[in-house]
Amino acid sequence: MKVLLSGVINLKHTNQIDVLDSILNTLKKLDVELSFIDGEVMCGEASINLGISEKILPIFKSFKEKVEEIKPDVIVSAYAAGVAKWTRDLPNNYGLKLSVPYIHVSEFFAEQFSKKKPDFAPFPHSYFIQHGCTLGRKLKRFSAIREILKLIPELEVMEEDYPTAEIEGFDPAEFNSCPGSWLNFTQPDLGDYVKENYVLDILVPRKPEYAGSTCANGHFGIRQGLEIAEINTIKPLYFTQLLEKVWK
Amino acid sequence: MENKEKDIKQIHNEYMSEIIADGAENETLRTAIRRAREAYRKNLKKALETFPESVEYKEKARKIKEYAIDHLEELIEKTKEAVERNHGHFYLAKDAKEANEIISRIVGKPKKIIVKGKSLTTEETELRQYLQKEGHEVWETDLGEFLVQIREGRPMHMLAPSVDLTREEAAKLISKITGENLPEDKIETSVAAVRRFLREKFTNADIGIAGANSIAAETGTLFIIENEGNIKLTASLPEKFIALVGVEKIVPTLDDAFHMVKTTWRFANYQVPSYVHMISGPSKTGDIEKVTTYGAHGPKEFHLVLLDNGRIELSKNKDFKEILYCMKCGACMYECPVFWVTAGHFGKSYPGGIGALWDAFIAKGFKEGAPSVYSCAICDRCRVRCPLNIDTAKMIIKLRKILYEKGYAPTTVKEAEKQFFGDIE
Repeated sequence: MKVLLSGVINLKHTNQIDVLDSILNTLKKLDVELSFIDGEVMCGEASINLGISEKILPIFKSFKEKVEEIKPDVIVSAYAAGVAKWTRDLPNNYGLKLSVPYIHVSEFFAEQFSKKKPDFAPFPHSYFIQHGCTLGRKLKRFSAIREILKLIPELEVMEEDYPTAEIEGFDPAEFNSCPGSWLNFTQPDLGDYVKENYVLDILVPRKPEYAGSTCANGHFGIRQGLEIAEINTIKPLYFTQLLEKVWK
Repeated sequence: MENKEKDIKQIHNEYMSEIIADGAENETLRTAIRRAREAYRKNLKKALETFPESVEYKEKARKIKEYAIDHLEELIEKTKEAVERNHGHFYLAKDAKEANEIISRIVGKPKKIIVKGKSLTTEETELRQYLQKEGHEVWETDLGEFLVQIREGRPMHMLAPSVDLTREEAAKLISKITGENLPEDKIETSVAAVRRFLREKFTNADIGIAGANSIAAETGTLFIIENEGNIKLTASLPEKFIALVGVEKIVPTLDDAFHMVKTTWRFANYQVPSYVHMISGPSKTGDIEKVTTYGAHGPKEFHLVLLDNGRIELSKNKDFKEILYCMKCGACMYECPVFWVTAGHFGKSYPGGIGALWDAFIAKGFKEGAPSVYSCAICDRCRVRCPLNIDTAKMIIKLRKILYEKGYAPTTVKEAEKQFFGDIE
């Protein structure tokens, strides 16, 4: 299977090389053929979120052309932004459609694991998962990460609860708090306080040993928040890093 | 209301200085918001458990607003007819300045004592400050708004204007104005002190001013929700009662108006508020020979000033008319990650993400409103919490496109653009 990994540049920009390595290593374990787009630029929701969408439409068109050259079976990304962009915004607003599915990396793993259950070692630790705002709340795609984490023996999975979610008929993850990563691009000084507060208000009281977000952008916010709040008792861990630890 | 004097960079810088220094760096504010958020969630749970049918209110409320905003001008006309039929006085002010001038004429001269209920619309027009400049003695009578007045600030939340204050800070502020030395750990003594202080203002007031949560066009009836009892006094004791209300609060019928207030209070976390007032005109009696005589025990005069200030134009804008669906229940703010660290410093006249849209389109204009549009984390949690499912993040993103094209985006956006996309020119 030919898998095109998108969003590599963003992981480099945000100095999340460890996350990138773990994604590459775990994808390799699935014995897939990996491909990349040379010189890929940010092709996620940032352009729309910042208000500069139409100006950069040629970049999206170029991405589509390169995808057609590479001919992958699937495009995967750790960023929910790309998923939202290519499944919702670009087809709906600009008529730009890809000929192959563009999915989140967690969804790719969940799909592969449903075909062949991996052999995972027990991991007797607590892990807090934040469902990225775009992947979770906006696209309502919560299940893949839950299915993956369920496969890890002895892992204590922690999620944020919301007191009225059940009464109102919501998945509690729809109320997931936000670590404020998008503020990095608009008001970064303010963003630091939001990230710090996320850690102090949401993570610290729950006392997980590890914490991560499905979305690499949210994960970046959590990492920064832990640093700003100087919390060493909770370690940031992207789910592919967790998979690396347990995959026999 | 566009700010012609300051350049956009200065506007962004001033906003950032305030939101960081007065908001994000204020640890006490964070504590107060945390307490308020926990109380909100606990109360909402209790309210929804007691009245589970409330969950179904949301859809109907949304439909009522959709219809009302699509028929706004027609409903304004119906409201005018009803108010005048009820022997009230009706005014439609095209902007904030005109609204204040109309109210000033109604208040008259010389110096009057005015008691006022909490109202975001009067914040939008800066009515209290306007009347004070004219020499009148004006008192905010909602406790939270009273605290805003005595500290010369602005509301930090749509429903709870002093949500950023701890009990200790509130006691200190009230002590200053009443001359007492109030204990800092007892909220009830602070509340009692304000009650004593304002009682004399109520009894001597010439004019009462308030807003409204909803208006029924068919009868011209205002619905006002409150818990403290200050509106009860404001709307009953003075000779004249004036309501300043945004036109978007009008819905077609009494049933619709009641549904809107019911939805507002429930998602503002109340099982039931202490008072819901229905006011359709001046006080009257027909007890002597069935001759209707105005000014029995309540106000002799009833004045409804409706404020347009861009709302009618906005109601015709398909991309942004949803802004006008906001009932100002304030629920969204308890779930906003930016509000958690800044309170109402995120915004100007209207706080929070939805407030940023209100500021940009209604209260402040695109230029002055731009910075708060870029404070939104676009996490979309406010939509999930909003009983009307208002998609604030989507509108913020659309508005950013307009602001970018007008040159009102902050320099950080330009930097991000270069970082991600290089020189795309």
